[in-house]
Amino acid sequence: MMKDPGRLRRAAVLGLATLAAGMSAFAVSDARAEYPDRPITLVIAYGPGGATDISGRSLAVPLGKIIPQPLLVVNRAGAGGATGAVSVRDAAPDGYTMMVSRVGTHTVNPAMKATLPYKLAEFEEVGVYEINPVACAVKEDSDIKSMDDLVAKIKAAPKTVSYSSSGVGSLLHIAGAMAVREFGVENPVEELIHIPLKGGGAAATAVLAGTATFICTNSSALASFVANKQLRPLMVTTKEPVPGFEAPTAADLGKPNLHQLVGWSGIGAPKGLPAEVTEKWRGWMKEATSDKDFLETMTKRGSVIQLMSPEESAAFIQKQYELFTKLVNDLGMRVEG
Amino acid sequence: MPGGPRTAPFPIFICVAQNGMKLHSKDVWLGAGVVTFGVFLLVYAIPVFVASPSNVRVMFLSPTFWPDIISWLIIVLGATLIITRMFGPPVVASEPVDVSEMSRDEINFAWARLVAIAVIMVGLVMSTPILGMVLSTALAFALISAIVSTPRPVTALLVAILLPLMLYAFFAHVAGVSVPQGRFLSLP
Amino acid sequence: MNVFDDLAAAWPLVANLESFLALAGGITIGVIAGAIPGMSATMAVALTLPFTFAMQPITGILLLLGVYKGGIFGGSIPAILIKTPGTPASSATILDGYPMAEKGQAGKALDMALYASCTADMISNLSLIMFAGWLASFALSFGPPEFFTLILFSLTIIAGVSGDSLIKGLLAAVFGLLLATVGLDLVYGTNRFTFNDANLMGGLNFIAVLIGLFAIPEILAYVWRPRSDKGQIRALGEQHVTFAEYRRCFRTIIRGSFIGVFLGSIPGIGAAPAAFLSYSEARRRSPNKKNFGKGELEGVAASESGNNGVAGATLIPLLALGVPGDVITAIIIGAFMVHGLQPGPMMFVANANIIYALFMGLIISSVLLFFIGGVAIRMFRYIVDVPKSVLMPAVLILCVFGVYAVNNNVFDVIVMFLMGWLGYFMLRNDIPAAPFLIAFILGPLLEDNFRQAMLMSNGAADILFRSWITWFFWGATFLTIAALVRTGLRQRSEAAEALRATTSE
Repeated sequence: MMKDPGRLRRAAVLGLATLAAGMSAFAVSDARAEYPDRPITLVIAYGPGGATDISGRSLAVPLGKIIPQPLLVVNRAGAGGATGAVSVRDAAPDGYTMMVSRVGTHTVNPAMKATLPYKLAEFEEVGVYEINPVACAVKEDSDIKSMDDLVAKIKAAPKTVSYSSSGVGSLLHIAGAMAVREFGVENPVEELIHIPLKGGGAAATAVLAGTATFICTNSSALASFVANKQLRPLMVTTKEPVPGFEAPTAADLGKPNLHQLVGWSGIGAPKGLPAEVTEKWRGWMKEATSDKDFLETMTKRGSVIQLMSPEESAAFIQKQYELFTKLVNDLGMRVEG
Repeated sequence: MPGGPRTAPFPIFICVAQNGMKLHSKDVWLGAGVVTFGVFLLVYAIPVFVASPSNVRVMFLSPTFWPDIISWLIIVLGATLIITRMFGPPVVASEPVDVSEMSRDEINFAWARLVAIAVIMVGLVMSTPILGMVLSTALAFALISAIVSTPRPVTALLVAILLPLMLYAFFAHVAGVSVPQGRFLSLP
Repeated sequence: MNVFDDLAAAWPLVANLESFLALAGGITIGVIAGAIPGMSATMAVALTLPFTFAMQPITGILLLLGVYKGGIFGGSIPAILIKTPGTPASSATILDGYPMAEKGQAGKALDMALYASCTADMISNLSLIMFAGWLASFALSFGPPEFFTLILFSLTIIAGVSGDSLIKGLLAAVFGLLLATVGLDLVYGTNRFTFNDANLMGGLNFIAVLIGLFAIPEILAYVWRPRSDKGQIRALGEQHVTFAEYRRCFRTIIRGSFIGVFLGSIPGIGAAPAAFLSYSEARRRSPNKKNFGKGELEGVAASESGNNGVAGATLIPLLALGVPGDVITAIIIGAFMVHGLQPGPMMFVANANIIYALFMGLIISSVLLFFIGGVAIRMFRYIVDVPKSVLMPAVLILCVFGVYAVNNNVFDVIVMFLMGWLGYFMLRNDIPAAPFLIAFILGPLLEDNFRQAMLMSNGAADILFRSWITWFFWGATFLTIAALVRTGLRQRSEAAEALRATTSE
């Protein structure tokens, strides 16, 4: 084939011409315009359809109207959020790569995994905007009617009661252990069986199918099962009752420590974000989270919309992280290797 | 399929041509490679690259349990392949082997083209963060057209320019994908 | 109240322009997205979701369902035309669809894909309406032990797609199993073959592996011999499926549809295994067995009926239990909840009119799919006229964009290229790619469910025999393997005899 010199020359010309065509399309952008002067990418470290995805995309609707440049929402899922988080950490802290930070990527994973390829300190937070109350539930026909019943059952026969989670290092994993520990189970890791499943939907289904005894997860993931009388809530971890959940709150039960056990979403960035970018986002977030449609959509899903300032957010995340780290150390739940 | 038996999964052909013998020994080498790989997994790769916590109570639950089984399967199947090809009835591929009809020169050029496309693939991946995906793929298209010495250079050139642009327009603006932009060229 | 009264009461909710437009629009979006490799039906549904928030509940949900159904059919178009599965569910369609296109019968293959899809879709919808309650209770009796045995049985499909050499098929399969172990361990969260790379921790992206394994080797084979297509330009293939051909494949389509319905009603399996299972069953029973994998119309009918049979049935656990069967239905649940609807048994009482309106919308969607799919085929099938010298590099670029789009990650493109070389190596050595893919899909399910079962029982193996479902699948697995061994031995002796005959001549 290469014997034909005409062909070869033509092919070479072809390659060069392409390059030239590409070059001529260069657009010169001025380097120092006011932020933002090009599209902003918002990374969601979980797959489409998950709680983080729906939350992030719902926020992106009002945000997209406010931010003068396009906001590209991209899913970069894998390894319980680690893949996406690492890609954001490695991006330039210029405000053009942001992420939807989440309880899993920012507190549970860093607290639990020794070999996690990133650290909490490598991120900055521009605002936590959503709190998801955590609820614990059992199957409706179960003889467990309260947290005390559950604990009594665990103590009576260790290693028979199980709880489901959406994987090692998920909020559900830590929540199940933390909840029963508060109620007096000394060593939940030894006395409980943890059954990890693939994803939150599968975890709830496992309780429904009898694979696991109980589950502690975001109330929104359980809302429809509770409304349909398939699952019975035992407790919610917030101070205020959660609509639709006829169960005592952690405050009612006298366990204020559990108020820390909540899911949340926020907007995060790699460390070193310029102050002007943080300021811009603070304003955008304020406007977006007061959008009527956004509020309605999220509230219907069972979330509490409550915007924190960057400082409040950082303190809130740090506090939860320390609590989880202590729990993980006390229980020996850390994942090594 | 002349002489093919009535049913699969082992349609077995009668070995008449040298072709068959060639494939035969090729399979034996393949089997040997597979067995070696399986042993490598068991002896080196799994202990080193699969982390297993010290507190695993049940053997079935160890992270290495499943990879170990797979390695054993690899060894057994590789060995079976060797044994069936050496001692079993001869087997020929149903499709004619491509190489047999090509001259030595043609084969050398074909290998050169394969190396070239491997280089193009590496180049495409490496240049994407610098040139952006649109330019990189356009270049890759042009270069591939060149190495296969396309009979339609004009069409190829047009497609090389237009297709990446169209794909960019679709993925960036309809599907909301953040297509890598590159340092020199940023498209709207 | 009887079902027909409910249906009559719900009719006005569906019989309006908005609903029809939503369905038609959804199906169109779905077919186009499905036809673009890398743009899976899941992504299309996720992207459409925010637009439904402002709509009426029924309109919004019908739009999403339209996208879902269109997407699953749309995937078959590139599978047949360029050997690139548009969605994972259509990977079985490649096995016979692409050889048909090579023979100049692309039109016929696409027609059959559409007819099989619509028929299966209709059967799936009817099953949803009639058996939802019964199948739903069945779905919940599937715990990890039952899943484990079902998947063990499904792995026997490998024999059906191994081509000429079972040994090589099995080899391909174990390498698929091995590759699927890359990532974080399910139970302990430890690293397996990740080399501490954050990208590898998430495991190898399924779509990157899929496209790499099927589409890229074809491009490499073309680069190896660029002129090998000279003189046999793939004709458009004006042939269409005749009624006689449809009738010949009808049994296969029905069987595939029910396999799809069965697997679809159990949460967590998905459409790709259904398509493969349907394909291997069709091959096992067909008189044209030998032609499978070489461009057999029935093979296309089998896989397309298998994957579309899933589409309606995944709504069974969704509507009857509130349980999402796959990622797509998980997104659709989100749409229900945004409108204040709680899918589950109570919905049949509280919002029965919405449920029945959905049922009717689904039936209409099967019909609309038939027409929209027909238009799409007419538009897309000119791709076969594109000369290979332009088509092949174009496919490569399309795959690069598509695979990148799945996760917005260049790493996936690298995975696709590497898998492409592996696939090409396999092609050159007569190792079939389909068993590799099936094992890659089913392997993790097998391992995860096994270990979940072991967790439940504290390591006691008797849990794997805990119910009649497990016994059933153990039996089915055993019988299938026994039958395979018997055929294998018989062929071996036949072949030996034939050899003796030739040598004595």
